[in-house]
Amino acid sequence: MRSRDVWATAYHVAARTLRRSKWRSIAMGLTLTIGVLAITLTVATGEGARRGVEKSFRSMLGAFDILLIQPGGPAMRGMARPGSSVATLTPDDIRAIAAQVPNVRDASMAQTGFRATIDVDGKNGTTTLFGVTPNWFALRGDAFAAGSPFSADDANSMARVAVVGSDIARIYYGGNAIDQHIRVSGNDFQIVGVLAPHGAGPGGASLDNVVDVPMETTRRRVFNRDNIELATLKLVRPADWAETQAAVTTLIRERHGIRPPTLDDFQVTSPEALITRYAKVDSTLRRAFFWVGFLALAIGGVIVASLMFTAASTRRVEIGTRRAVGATHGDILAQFWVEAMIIACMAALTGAVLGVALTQAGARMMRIPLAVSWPTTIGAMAITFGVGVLAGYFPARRAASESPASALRTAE
Amino acid sequence: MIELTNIRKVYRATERPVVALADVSVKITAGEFVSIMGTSGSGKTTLLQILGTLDAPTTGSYQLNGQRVDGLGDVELSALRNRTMGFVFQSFNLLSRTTALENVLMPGLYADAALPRADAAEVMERVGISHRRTHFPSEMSGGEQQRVAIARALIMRPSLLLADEPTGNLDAATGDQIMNLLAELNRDGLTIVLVTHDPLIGARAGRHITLRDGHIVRDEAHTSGATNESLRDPRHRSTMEEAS
Repeated sequence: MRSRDVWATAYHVAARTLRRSKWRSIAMGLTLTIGVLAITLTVATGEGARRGVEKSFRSMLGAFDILLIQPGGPAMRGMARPGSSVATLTPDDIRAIAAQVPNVRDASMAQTGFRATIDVDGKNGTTTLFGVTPNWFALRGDAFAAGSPFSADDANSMARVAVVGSDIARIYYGGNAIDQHIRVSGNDFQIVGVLAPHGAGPGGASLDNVVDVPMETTRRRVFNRDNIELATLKLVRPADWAETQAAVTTLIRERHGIRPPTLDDFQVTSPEALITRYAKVDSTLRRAFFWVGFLALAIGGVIVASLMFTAASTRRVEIGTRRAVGATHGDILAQFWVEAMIIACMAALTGAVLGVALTQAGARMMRIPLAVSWPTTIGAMAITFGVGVLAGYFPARRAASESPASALRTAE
Repeated sequence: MIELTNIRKVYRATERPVVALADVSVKITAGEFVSIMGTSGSGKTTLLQILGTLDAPTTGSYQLNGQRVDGLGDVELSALRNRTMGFVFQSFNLLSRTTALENVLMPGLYADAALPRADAAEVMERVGISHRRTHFPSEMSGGEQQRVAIARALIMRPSLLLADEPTGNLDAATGDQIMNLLAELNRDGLTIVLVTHDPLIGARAGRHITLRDGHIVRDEAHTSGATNESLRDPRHRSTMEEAS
């Protein structure tokens, strides 16, 4: 018999009511907004951090089907650092591993010299100088922007040749670095290759400010030492990395004469282990923030419900008057319910928009890895709307159940 | 137009049931101006709310324009109120922070067809409040607010106007103006039922019904302006204090 749309009327009336009391509306929705914002942001930072960690490790290590051997015991965790190099790992150790451990297909080695000085026609700077075996680039899967890696012959002849990172090529040579000369730590090298850009490593520093020269050259002509700082083992079957890790550990212990309780003077790690270590720190914080977001949504729901209950009792005269001029029980129910739903919708939208905007702005301005996780953001919005539906229903039911006669008597 | 038969209303909210209306039967014909008077607790407001279908009688029957009203559902009753009744309250019951025009248009929200704004302009003109169209209730005097409320009651062109102490919050002069307006509307054919405790206000109606303890104790027709000595009875006077 009635052709009008109860929900359209309710929307119209509720929207007007909310507009008339802006501060009440904001107070109702604020906590929900914060909840959506917190969830969006934490997942964005978490998602970004996870992607960032993985990407930076991949950039640094080149490949994941490898094992890493570093000198120094378990007390010295983490990546090779300046000063942390202990003279315990030698090229002979690595050659023995390559020859004796069956799952090792190939092994590359590196000597590192941090804060090596660069001098190019009076332009100065510092870089990391790597003395690497010729297979280093292939094992890492390094791409070349120009030129090529040095050869085994170059290595054997202790040639003064270098492959440089893209930062070096850009800063010192304006991009055209091939065949140019570079002076690193007082030694002249001829550039034969330029690496494709890698971006930032796990520590945030550029991985493109490097100079790679043959390890034989650094052993005899630059560092004048035999010990190495890093070996990379390419595995035949990457899935068996744990067994291989054990085999490698046993072999080096034998070679170094280490017996328990003596601690290892080297460390064998897998890329997965490194990433897990980083990601763990990250996820504790993330989880805390994530639950703060959910807590805010729950509290927001309680706030909406209680303010709507208050409204149901303070607006009895309005309810009675509307009933008198023709509003049905359903009209009042819908009006109050829709009020809570509009609040929840606006809060969800505001929180999501703020969250996405802050994510983008943060990623751009602070150069931290952030990525919006759309399923999470949309999920948080859906939950917020659900909270509004739930928090609005019971107050709305109470408002509607008010008999018009008694609602109006409060006025007289 | 209205036929109430053996209406009884008992409130059971408290431990001891309160009989608001004991046994009320009354007929009101179209075009009448009826005042319902009585002391506080006499049942006059309950009677008005039953007439306005805001409350249902415990027993008894209610016929409006030949239609049985008791037993109708919420949706039908709401539509009935929307189309055939207008309400005027003591405290005006205007929505705050809402313009006079929007207040007047409120019943249209609950009508089947959209309400033309021209109707609002016309009815506001009729009650002499068109110059306040865009004002908020807080910017208007009590008399002006009550005129807006009357415009809201008239916008759906009802046949019955129900007024509960419409002058209760107004000074004597303003109350008189409002009563003049109601009398005018009645002359134009609108049926009006008005509840008041004030004998002077009640006297403006053409028919006076007096309630006491849920019974009709007096039901008299008067020519306009005539005063009835019994209404000046100090017993009725004493009920003035309930206006506060």
